[in-house]
Amino acid sequence: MTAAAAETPGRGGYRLGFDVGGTFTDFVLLDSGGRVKGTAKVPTNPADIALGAAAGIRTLLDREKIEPGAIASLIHATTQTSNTLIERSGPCIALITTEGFRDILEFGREARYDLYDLTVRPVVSLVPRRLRFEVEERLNADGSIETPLDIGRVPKLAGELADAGVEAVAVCLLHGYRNGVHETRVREILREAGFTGPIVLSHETCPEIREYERASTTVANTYLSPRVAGYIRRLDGLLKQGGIGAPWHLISSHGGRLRVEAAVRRPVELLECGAAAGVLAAAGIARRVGWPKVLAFDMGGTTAKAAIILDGKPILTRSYEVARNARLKKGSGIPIQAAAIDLIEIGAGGGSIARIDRLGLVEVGPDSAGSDPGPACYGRGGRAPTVSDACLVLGYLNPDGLVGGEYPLNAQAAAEAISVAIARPQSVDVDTAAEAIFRVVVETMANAARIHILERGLDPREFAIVVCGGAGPMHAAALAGHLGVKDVLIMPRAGVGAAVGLLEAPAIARASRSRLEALDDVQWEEVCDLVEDMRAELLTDLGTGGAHDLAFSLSCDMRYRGQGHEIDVPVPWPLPADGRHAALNGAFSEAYRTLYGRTNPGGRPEVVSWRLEATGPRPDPAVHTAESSPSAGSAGAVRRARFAGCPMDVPVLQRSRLEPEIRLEGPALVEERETTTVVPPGAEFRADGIGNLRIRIGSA
Amino acid sequence: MMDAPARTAVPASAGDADLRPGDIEIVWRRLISFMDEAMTTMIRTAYSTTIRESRDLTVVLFDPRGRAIAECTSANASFIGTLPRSMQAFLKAHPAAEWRAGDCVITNDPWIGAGHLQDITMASPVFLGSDLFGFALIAAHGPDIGGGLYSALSREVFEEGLRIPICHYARAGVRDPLVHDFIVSNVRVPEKVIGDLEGMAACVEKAGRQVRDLAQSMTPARYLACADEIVRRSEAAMRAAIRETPNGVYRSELTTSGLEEPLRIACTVTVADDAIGVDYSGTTGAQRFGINVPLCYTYAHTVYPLKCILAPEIPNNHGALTPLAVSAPEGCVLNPVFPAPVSARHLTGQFLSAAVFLALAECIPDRIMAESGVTRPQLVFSGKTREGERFVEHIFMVSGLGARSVADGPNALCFPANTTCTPIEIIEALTTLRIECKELVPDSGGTGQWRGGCGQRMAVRNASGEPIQLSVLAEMTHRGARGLFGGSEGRPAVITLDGKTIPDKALIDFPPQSVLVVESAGGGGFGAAGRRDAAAADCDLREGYVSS
Repeated sequence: MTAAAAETPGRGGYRLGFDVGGTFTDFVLLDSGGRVKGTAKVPTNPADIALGAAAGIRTLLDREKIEPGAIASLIHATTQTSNTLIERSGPCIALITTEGFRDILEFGREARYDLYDLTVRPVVSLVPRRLRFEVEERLNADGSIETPLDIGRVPKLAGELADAGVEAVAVCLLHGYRNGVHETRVREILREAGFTGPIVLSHETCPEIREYERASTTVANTYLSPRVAGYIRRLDGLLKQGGIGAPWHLISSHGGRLRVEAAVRRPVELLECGAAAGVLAAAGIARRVGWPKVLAFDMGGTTAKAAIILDGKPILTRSYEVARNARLKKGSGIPIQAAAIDLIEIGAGGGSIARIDRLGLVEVGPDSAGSDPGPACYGRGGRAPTVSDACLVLGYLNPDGLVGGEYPLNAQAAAEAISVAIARPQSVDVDTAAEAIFRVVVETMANAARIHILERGLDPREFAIVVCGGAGPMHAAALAGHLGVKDVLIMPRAGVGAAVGLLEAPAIARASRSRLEALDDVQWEEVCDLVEDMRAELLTDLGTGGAHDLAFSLSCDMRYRGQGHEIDVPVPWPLPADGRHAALNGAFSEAYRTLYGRTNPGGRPEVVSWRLEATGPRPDPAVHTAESSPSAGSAGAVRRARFAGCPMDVPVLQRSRLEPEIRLEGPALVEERETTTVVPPGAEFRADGIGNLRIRIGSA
Repeated sequence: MMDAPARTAVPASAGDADLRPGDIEIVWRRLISFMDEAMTTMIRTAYSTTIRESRDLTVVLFDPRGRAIAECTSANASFIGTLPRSMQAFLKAHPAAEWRAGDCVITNDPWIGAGHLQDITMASPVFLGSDLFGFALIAAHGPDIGGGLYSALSREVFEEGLRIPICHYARAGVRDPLVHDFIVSNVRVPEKVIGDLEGMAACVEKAGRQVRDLAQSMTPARYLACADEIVRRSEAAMRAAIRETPNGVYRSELTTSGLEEPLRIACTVTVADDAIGVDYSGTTGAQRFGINVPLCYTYAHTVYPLKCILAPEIPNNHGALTPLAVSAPEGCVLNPVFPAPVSARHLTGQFLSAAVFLALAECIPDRIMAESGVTRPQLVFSGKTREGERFVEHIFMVSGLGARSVADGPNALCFPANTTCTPIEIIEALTTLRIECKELVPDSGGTGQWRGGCGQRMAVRNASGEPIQLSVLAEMTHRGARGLFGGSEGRPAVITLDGKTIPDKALIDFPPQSVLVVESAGGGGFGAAGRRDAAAADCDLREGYVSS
């Protein structure tokens, strides 16, 4: 399908993507035709991420005998930004607020995130109280100035900031989202007074009502600024030093390419980019396979992640929380108001620990045995039974171990751990206990995914699941069963497959303008002006000369007058000259009905803000070829595995040896270097010829 | 209508239904998520800020017998205790056989609902075919219920607004126009009130449909067997937790500032093997003003703290609360008789957590917390926007929490209620109020090895040219939150208007450009101050939580 592109010289050069995870960094190199030329997986160097990445690139290029100058573009994602917040390992920063309001950051929304737990601890602010400064000024709710900024006070602040060793400053004034004049003035004066570090203004970072969430976002952006800027400078230097002069991009939390300059200015946009790669890869596959509704699913050692992909695009959220406390509880993290792939993170992974709770029920996670000591079956002293131990006992995991037998697993230890913690207290046998662990962890994930889908007014049964890596392929078919999903697809070469997703991301930029008015009062000439204004901003953001290769889409946030939460309404643009109000009203009603199953006939719709998104051309997709050597198929290997209470002898197949497009029936265990795909009885599966493993549930 | 009468589905025993390991876990988790999703939908579609910003609502699922099975995760401490009693009252008024699919029953009767007229309770049955599988209930604080402005100063419940008896908001999916008109005719902001009632009805109907689909997909017998097991296991776990608590009769006594006089709350907690009884004999008699607490609310705020200390991790339901009994002599302030005024019942009722903790302090010192600066001050403003539209806005403040045996009390956090604050920018956009400051009150937490949390100061100016009607609903101005084991008491709440102290329960005209300043109370300390960690003390001083 990309034959034309492949034969177009000059499009070309190599494309390099790399995804820096907590443990490993994955690299993938595409040739000018989009074919995977080489891949690499190296341990992440936490002490110097940029150096580790540069070294990995050099190794890959040397191995593939490619000149650094032949790299035409480079794109990159990292989990480091969110780690900075989770570990609170950023620099010393300050916050400047309106007089009387420095504690807003500490108050948050003032509720406890667990109703019954008397030990709840509120979120620890990124700025300690002594570094939250106040200035005299006041805006009215409509943005007009009530009390002018006391400009005498601000220069003194600069000295106090320096004395305290403050590296960067956030400025968040009340109603600043309506009028940024005072925030801008504070920055000017601080600069004049000699403060040289980053100064982040709330109206530029997050021009939205609700002071706590805006302050929280602005402060997070400030906290990340110095580190991210330093990292980008260092990586840029190392790349140039290594002979790579091509422009490079970062992936933003919302899955678009972000120019380096934009990333330095708005590092908060990188917070969720670590998880973006897998979702983008799943989106690419959804487009190629032609599935309109896909759940991207990724399961690692500690948590599982899922995201919804509609018509080949991940759906986004405009607010989310980062750095939640250990149990991932809603409300226990730092709220961020910025576009991001709407990802749910579930405390369920291969290392999740199973136990019997006080109710005599099996509970799995959210705590994890991690990699040290790890699951009992690792034989490194772990005594608590984990999901991986259950998978081993059930016969899903190869006892010879993963990564091609380099790390053999201890089935005895797994059985013993499950026996002690689950089976004996429950008076059941070890197999039954293992199956209960497996079912509970699958339901934990299914439940979170189901709610995520239902909240958007969609039906889980209409989805397909695209799985990326880790422990996902072992659980995906069961997950599909719990959700009523029919189709499951396992990506080629797990981690590396995800890195490919980065290379398929287009440039994306977004702009918004808040303008609250009743739908009946909307003046279309003004809307046209707004749209033009936003379009100009986006062109600057994307650094493109012209709009010819950009696709624009307009939407607005609407609600019924009196409500406090808006919904996203896609706006057909240009609207028909006659009946524009009716067209927008219709679009609103339809969106509202989809979400909530009803409309409010007596309600008066109003527009809160307008949003414009520009998307650049999508890079040519990567071409996966089946890496199969379909010679022997199954070598006749069989393993005892258990499904729905029934032990059976299950054929063990090598994924690389599956003949493309040959349909086989489950049960089966399809193994590859880093994972095993479990195909339950009643399911049908095949390699699809472009590197994917496809499972159809209950079709046989 | 001549429909066949509803049949109540009969639960099979766990054995009969052939449950597989994991079934109960799966059903339980799903039911909780259904309630969570219903709650989220309600918040997103709500009009009143009490729901959409402060999240003063709860959704609970019941089985066909009216036993609570699952509640939303982010529930409200009052509603988790009142909804089960509302359910029983609904079933008494309308036995199971009378319900039809699409029915929606409503009430706000304080003795049946949640203790005052502002809270509306609604129920919708869950049907699969003609089999009744249970009920979904919601309780939420509405934007207005008519009557005098929401305050503590009512003398009879009749002044407090429209009382909706148990009646059908909808029958078989059809709204009752008369009920609708009665409500619309009696409230200040009908568009918001009806908007929220419609949201509530949609919310319980949707939750019901999801439960129905689940019951259908896993077979009704297994669903009901799981529901039964959820209740049975929760009860067993709660009883086991009580057994770990030493038997005995434990007493506490504390005072609230009250209205005409301080009120005495006398609490006796009896731990007897696997059950706990709490009795309030010796408590002050019912008051002439609206700070009386209907027994449903007394019950809710007594079982809530017990649940927190005994079994915080068990999802709440009928079983978890079964071993707990609550009683208060009829006619006392904690069990007043109709038509006693009850509007501001939380001002008294929210002290019960502290009463229970204090009673059990010697018995289980590591589990309880010192007294918090309850209740959070609440301010209600009724006026006109610059565009001439009427507004009724609530500002919920929060107080400092009491310290525990291992940690400081958090600053400015909601307890025992669990509502979120309305952002200042939202308040100022919707009203003519100007918030001049919202900040911590240094030194307001009681000292101790573990410090009590600091309270909060808010200054509000009437920025309009006209008086605004103002109701102040606050407490703990007469004394500070009590410390424990040598910890000192927190600072009391202070309320001033233009610098002059006003009562903590007031209904006044708030003159143009006047400034109301409210300082909520700090939490009590835990342990002797001499044992405080030096680094923690330095931090308090450096960050300004204490001034010296």
